[in-house]
Amino acid sequence: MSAVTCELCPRGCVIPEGAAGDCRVRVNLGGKLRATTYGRPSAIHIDPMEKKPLYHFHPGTQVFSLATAGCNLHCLNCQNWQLSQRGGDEMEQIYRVEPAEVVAAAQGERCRGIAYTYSDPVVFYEYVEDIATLARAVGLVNVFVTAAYINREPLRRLCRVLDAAHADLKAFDDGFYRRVSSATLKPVLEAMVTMREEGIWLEVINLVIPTMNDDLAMIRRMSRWIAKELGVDTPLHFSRFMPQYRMRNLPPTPIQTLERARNEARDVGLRYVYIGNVLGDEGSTTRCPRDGTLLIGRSGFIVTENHLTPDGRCPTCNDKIPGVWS
Amino acid sequence: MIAAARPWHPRDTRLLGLIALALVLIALHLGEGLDLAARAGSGHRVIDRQALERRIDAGDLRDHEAQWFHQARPEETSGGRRTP
Repeated sequence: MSAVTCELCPRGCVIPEGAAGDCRVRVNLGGKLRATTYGRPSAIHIDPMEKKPLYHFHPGTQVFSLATAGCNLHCLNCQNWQLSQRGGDEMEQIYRVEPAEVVAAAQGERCRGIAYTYSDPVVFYEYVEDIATLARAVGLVNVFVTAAYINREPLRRLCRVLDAAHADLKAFDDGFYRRVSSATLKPVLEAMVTMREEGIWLEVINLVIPTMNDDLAMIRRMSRWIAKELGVDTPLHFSRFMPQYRMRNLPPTPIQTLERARNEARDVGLRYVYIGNVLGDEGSTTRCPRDGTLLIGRSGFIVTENHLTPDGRCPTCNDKIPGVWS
Repeated sequence: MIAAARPWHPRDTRLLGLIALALVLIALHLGEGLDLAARAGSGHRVIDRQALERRIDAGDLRDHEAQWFHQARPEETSGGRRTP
């Protein structure tokens, strides 16, 4: 029996018969690659859209969120490692849910859409595509929460059925990607540009880890890249690190570090820069870039006030605020 | 200060050299491991195939045919691919 080469992500695993890819869930059985977790999620929840976090996409709505085991990255600070760093055969909890059942459940729970999240949905690509196709047909939106470590062609095809993506840009440093996530930076940047080209709504998150990726010069370079390649209206979320998994030796990110990062990003022209994982911080509020009017107030994952006009404009200056609001 | 007072011996130099060499070798080994982990074409995992097939037979997992793959070409199985 022959080996196969997976073309889904930049890792390009060459998988002998009877073995799995680096993600643990795409397995070569009989010379064909199998998606072993198709229809077999291990995590299903209903979350606020703000938890993804998406701040400019249907604020205040609920999203049906699911994930299977496996991941194509191996971040030392992974917060879902019990799910992501296991193969399907290692999971105790496995649900049997076909794509049509996912869509029906999301509708039954009155969710605005479906989020593919928690682990990286790249590794359960076929399941995502089939659910998303059905979901779109009944008017649900599809949200892809990802580290964006995916090849261009599979991503382009998937974007046809996606409405929004939340992409994790872990650092603007290839060495960081290699050391912390066993990955590389360039394909991630290319994937984000592809998402922008394909016209799906995109927000970017950067988890700021003390001493690892909190260099302000690097954050400035990253922000410049986002402004140039993705646009100054791309929301950027600086998120607070909490000690996790194999990175328990570092402290939580100081709030001042997040604020400095936010200032750097705004200084280079980004217009919507947020601070996440900090309860009640002004950094989770959306304000009009022109006049400072409070547009959306948040506390944690809850929208406390929303003053946008029905067509997504500032009530003071009538400027259009970028996002998907309806 | 007792150590500082002791006369320096050539074997101390050899010991320090040995420690430095060990550290360099460890660093090179770790660096190579990191590079391999991130390199295209490097990744596959040996799994308990029988356990997997039992889970598939039981319906806990699936053998749904994946997309985005091709039969490995000889140059791919021989290694040496570039990092993306």
